[in-house]
Amino acid sequence: MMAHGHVRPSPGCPRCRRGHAPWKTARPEAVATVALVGSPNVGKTTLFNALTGQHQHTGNWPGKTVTYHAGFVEGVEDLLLVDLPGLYTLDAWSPEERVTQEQLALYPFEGVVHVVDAAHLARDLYLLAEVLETGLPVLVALNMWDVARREGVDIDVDQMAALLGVPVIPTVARTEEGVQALKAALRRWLAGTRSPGRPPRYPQRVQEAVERMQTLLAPWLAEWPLVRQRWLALKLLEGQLHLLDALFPPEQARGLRARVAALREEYRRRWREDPALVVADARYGWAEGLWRAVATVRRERRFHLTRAIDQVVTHRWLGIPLFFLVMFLVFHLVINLTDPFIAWVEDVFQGPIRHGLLWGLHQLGAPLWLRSLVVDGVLAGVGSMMTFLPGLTLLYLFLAWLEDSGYMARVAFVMDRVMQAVGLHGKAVLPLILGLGCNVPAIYATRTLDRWRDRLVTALVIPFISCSARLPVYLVFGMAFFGPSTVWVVWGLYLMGFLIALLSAAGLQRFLGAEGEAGPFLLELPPYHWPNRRVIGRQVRQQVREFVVRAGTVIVAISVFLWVLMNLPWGVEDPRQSWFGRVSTWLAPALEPLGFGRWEAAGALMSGMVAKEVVVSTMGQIYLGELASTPTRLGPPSAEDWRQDLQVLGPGLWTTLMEAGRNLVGWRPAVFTAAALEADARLAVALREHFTPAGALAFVVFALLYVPCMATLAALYQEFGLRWAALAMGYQVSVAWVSAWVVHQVARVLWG
Amino acid sequence: MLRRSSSTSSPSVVPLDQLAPGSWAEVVRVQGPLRWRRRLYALGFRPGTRVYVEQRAPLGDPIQYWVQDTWLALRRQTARQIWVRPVAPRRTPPENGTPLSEEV
Repeated sequence: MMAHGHVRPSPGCPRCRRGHAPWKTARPEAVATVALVGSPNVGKTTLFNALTGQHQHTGNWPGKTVTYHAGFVEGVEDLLLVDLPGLYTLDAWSPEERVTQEQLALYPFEGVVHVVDAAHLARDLYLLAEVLETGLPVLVALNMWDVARREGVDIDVDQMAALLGVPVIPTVARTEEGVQALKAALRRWLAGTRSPGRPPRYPQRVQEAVERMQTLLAPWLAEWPLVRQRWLALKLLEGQLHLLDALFPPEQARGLRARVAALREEYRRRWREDPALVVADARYGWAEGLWRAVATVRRERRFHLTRAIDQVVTHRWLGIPLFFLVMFLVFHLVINLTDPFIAWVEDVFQGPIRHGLLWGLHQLGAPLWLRSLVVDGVLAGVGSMMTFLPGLTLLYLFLAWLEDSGYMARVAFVMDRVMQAVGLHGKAVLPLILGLGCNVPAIYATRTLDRWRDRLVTALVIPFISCSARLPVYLVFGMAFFGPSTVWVVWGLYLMGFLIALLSAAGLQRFLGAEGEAGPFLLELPPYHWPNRRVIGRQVRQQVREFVVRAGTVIVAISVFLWVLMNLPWGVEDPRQSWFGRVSTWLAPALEPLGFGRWEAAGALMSGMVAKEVVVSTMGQIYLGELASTPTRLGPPSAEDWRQDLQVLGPGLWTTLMEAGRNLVGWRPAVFTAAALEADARLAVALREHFTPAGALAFVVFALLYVPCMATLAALYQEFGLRWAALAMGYQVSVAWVSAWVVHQVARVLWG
Repeated sequence: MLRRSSSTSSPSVVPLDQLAPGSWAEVVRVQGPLRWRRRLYALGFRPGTRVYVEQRAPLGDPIQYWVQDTWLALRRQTARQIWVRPVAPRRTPPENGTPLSEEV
């Protein structure tokens, strides 16, 4: 056995061209690497967090869109724990499952910590059998020990450890009970000899077939001493042929695939059975034997509370209204509590921080262009990111709470029928509805979906849901052109957004095709429990940090990019002569068929990338000549400025807190606060001069559907990578163009 | 070659989605692609295990079951692949425990 601290070579990655150990970049000299596996809902991630604390490294698996987490275990030196995606069996259909299976097959882990749910041990034993089959040393964490006790499940831990031949440690990840014992066990385990345990035995005919498969593979694996050959042979016999693609270059994999398939076929013909099912039966036999030997169930009433709650929450008539009520409350709290803070954060950035920076730059004698770049480019980007933070933090908190309590699974259960119609998972309902408030948190809310594919499709259609920032655009144009029928135009736009989102989802599912058949729809409805403060707090902190680091970078980059466009060539006075104006002029002909092929419209839409409501202010600046970019604003702040800043920081904060408090108690229909926005009469006149009514209608449709804002793009980039974010942008612009064109044509015919 | 599997031709064997809420059944066999079957097996829908039908979702689909000590919801189209034989509720819990029969 490997001694603690021994460095193992990486398994010949140059040949397969798929990095096997992305976390190695976190700390190349990492010594003992241990995998953490377990099925969903067993508290694996909670245990991971409890073991590693803040020392985590997060990223994507190379070539996959699956997120991995790796971290050093606090108090156990040089132990890198890799949290592999959760699964019920070691079959590999979804990208998440493939990652887990391939890692276990190929990467030389020092061992595996398998987290099982003590309260539902019977079900987790199948996976345990598969984990033992890998031949890796195993340590079992019997998690949810408290729940098992409460529910009257007694497990003889010593007996279980003796039968399995591996250490078994009871834990309660939520309260961190047993975590110290687990760390101690890990320390002992790593220092001593680690037993691979006793996996199930298969019938002789299967054993022979596995050996033949191993013989077939042996020459190919000569350079791969660390690959678990016996296990690989078994998995291939079970038909998991994709493992070949992960291991060998394409030509070799193809050649081997045929021979492996032939061997499998030969077995099936000879014994008239699928080896996969024989092996599965052996595992179940083993699992049942083990269960009988170690567990006793005292007869007690179980889950009565969960059933009682469910009678209301999933009730035939009450279930759906209750879901909308919960959504309404979340909206109310998030929007109304954070609304005052958003304004305050903006004030702080525009006031004290901006002035402080300008003062500093002035002291350093920085040129005007640099001052402008810093305050109007970088600081504007950082500021716009910060305005999202209060709302996002609160929303993350609610989502984590709803998810951890078990309610989210009920939402999926109640609403699944609706989502089924467009090929989405029931859990997709929540992000879609959150999109009405703001698309950014909605995209992050797709994390509650288990499968990457569902997450992607949901996130790609969310931008069509009309967020609250788009309302000012509708209202300004509505007031200018449609008078009292504005209400209908606005409703029509909201409805159109939803319809296009749902249709796109159905279309995308069909278009993405084969990868989607990741197995039957399964939804576990875990027993309710009161969420643990520490678990929620940790999760929210982690999510906020990720947003700031990853999305924040993109937002600042786009903000700087727009600054460059608007301010170059330096000193430009007429916006039309700036690069921004030139790009707009160049883009305008593309909008001609839509009825608004003017550079002003193109420019307003482009600046709307910052945030949709900016479309209105840009139009004001362009049409009414208010484009204020005078160098005086870049001078050192005056005494009056500082006085105002003190006002913002002191009394301003107090007013904000009071207002948030008032909003919490009183009801204010926040989505429509923008209605209070006074429609600028002068702007309305200017718009009527430059747009036809049909063009105006087409313009708002375009504004509804094209890229929501740079923060949404950043969120898509953070969650799905550059390729999907770029594709999403292209798709949104195309849909917007086609829809606006259709609307323009129809409106022209109707209105003559 | 018209031999049919005795289990499916027997009148008492029905697809799982046909059962009314509140009934117990024993899984006879699971149809569908191998991968589906293995996933369903792993969650407890395998020959010989008992399933309790808890309720349908408000819009009729999916359906909530109690199997191997957990609440699981399946869409109709999946439940249709699972053939079961209705049984009377058991009084004494087997190894997995079926305390529901006492509560219902």
